Amino acid sequence: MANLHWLANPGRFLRISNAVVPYLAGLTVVLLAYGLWRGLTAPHDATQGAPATIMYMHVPSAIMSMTVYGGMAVASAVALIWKHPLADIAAKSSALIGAGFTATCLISGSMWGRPTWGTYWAWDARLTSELVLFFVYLGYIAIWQAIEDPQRAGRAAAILALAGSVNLPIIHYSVEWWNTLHQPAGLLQGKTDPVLAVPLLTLLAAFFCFYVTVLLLRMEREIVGRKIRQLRLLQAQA
Amino acid sequence: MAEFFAMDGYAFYIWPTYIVTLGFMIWLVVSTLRGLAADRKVLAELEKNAPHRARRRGETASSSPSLRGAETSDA
Repeated sequence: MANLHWLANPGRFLRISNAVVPYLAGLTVVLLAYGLWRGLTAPHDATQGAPATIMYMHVPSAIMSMTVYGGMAVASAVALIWKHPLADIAAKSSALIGAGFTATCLISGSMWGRPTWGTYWAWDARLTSELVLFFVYLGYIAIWQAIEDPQRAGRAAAILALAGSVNLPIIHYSVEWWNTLHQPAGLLQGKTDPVLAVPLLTLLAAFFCFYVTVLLLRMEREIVGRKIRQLRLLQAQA
Repeated sequence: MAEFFAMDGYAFYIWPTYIVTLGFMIWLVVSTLRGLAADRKVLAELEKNAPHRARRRGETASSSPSLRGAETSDA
């Protein structure tokens, strides 16, 4: 009977999703192109020079790595409490996107750190907590792959996602709580010059649209995958 | 142009960052779309093999055709 409830929603979801995805994809491409053009042609940062150009990839990756995790944690809570099947699918479909952004955040940070700090990596509060986020994502993905029954896998993964969410405030406040190499955030406090802030915010919007677009596509894939699984089980019983 | 790509001598740090980040995004879109297309094909194939099940419950046309197969499994 739980499945009846499950089916009531995905049909509606797929219709809305299929209608929205082409527009979101188009918006992503436009924002990405505009942000890259403005960012790469902007004058170099006064103190850091050319390496600060890395920020256009690093900052949106970093913000998205946490935003996606936040979304995944909320979806996991909804899936655990209300057993909403789409929430479960949304959480699962987010994981690889978030893990990827965490990886690009770490790699771009490393490439930025070498010319400005003189090192690719330091066991510093901000860097380490972001690395922990990456491992939490990997753990989450591993649970889904290790447990075959989607209901059991979903519950275990959701608990991990919720437990891992303590890391989000740690990452965010790490630059204030501890002495760290990492500079504090300036973008959303209006401390960044518009010449740099406009392309940065445009690229952040582009990365966000990218996330929603890919999330919707991956959710559809997950719904199709679960239908395949159910049909196969049914055929095996017949 | 060459000056732009040289990035004041920091090209080694800057361009790989862009290639990795944008490359990841392109890879994710391509692999998601390819996986979705492949799974849709498998589902269509499965539904073709069990069409009587799909029709038996008289699903309305308003639901996506690709959903019918799974809906029968609740019966």
